[in-house]
Amino acid sequence: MASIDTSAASKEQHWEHPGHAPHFRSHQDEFDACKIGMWLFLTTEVLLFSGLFVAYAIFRMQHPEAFANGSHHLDWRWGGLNTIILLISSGTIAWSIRNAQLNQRRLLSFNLLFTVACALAFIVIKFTFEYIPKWTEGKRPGVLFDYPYAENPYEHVWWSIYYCATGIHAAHVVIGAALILWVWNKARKGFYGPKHYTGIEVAGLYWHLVDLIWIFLFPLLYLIH
Amino acid sequence: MASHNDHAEASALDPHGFHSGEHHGHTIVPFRILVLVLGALLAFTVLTVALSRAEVWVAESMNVHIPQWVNVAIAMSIATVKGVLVALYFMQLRYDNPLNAVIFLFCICAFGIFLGFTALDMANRDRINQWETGEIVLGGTGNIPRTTVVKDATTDEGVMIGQDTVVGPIVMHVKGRIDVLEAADRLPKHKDKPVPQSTANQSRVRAGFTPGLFAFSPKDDHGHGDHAHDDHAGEEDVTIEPTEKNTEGPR
Repeated sequence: MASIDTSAASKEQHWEHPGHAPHFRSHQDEFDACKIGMWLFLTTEVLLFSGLFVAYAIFRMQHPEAFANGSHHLDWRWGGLNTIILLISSGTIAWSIRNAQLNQRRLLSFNLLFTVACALAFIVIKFTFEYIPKWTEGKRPGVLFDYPYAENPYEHVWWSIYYCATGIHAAHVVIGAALILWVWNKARKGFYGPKHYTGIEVAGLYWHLVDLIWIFLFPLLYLIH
Repeated sequence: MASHNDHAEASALDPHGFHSGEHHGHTIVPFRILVLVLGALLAFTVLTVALSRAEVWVAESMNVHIPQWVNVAIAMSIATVKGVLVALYFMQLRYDNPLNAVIFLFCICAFGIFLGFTALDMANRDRINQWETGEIVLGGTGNIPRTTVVKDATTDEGVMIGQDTVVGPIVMHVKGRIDVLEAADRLPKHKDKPVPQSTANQSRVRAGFTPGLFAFSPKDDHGHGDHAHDDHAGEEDVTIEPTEKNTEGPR
């Protein structure tokens, strides 16, 4: 055991010898601190989206018809499919933590990649079937609004909220996918295992938050009538 | 390195032995639970879409008008249940250090405060309280005609520095400096933009005559239905009477 390298800067660590930064008493302490730190960061992310949700609430109260009309332009089937994709991806990344804890290396790699694939599918569906058709028809946010058949003078407000909320969420999906790809890269080098899976845990928390936001965005945007 | 410390017994600094074991707090969530939670999440998704579609169908086929808040309440309840499932089982709040759950709940409370106070404010923007009804003037409270008197710096006697009529100039003698300010110039405006109107949500400073306040008789159109020249029509007997038209209270 004399070969334990507690230097956190070492890049060739294997999970069997997880070091920890010297200011922590143990690896467990470092893990707990990382998790608490991630939860604090998630708090800031939720508050970021809460600004959008409150804006949605205010504008919906002020212009209910515009929101109802605007919502009819959204297809709940694409939104529903995206919801199912994100829920499954949340499941696979939760499963991947279990894989790390039980040293199931190949399943771990598969689950992480599957999550990234779900993220890509989400983005592809969003852009191909939602953003691009709408943008070309003129359903655009704010001053860019150009749809000639708008039934309500405030429809550009609805589209602003739609593009802002789903756009910032899509940006988070991309960031989450990038994080998980990075974690997958380390996982396939044997960096994670039963004694050390902090990176997977932290990336997983971020991904679950992305899913959580979408769980609330989907009914508010797609299921109004 | 002193790796044997990892297996030390609980000490005074760490009475629950929380940090002494390698696998303390590393709860492995059973696979069955993951599958069950995922199944429940998918089922709730199907439920929320089905309820939404059913509501549309009921509203269209039976001509029943279901109020919006019902839709929102049901959808948000189901979404909350889904969110709680994700947080408890997928994010492992159930198996973790309770501090993580406290942090998350604090965040939700912060959001609640944000939404709650904003809603309280927005809902009462156009509320008129009983104790301020005396200050409410038809046409708004901007630019009330007044006479201002100040002490002259040199002679120390009262000087009427101007009659601030709605469109007249103000002449100020202050320490020998004369500033002539047109009332309209004191207000920011853009030549090409229309003057914005006050609404219940935001009041805007205006200059000039309040439209319709100095009443002309709408019947005085010489039979043409032409009100273009009504501005000077009834100027002889300008009265502000509470007619049908200008007793329209705030929205």
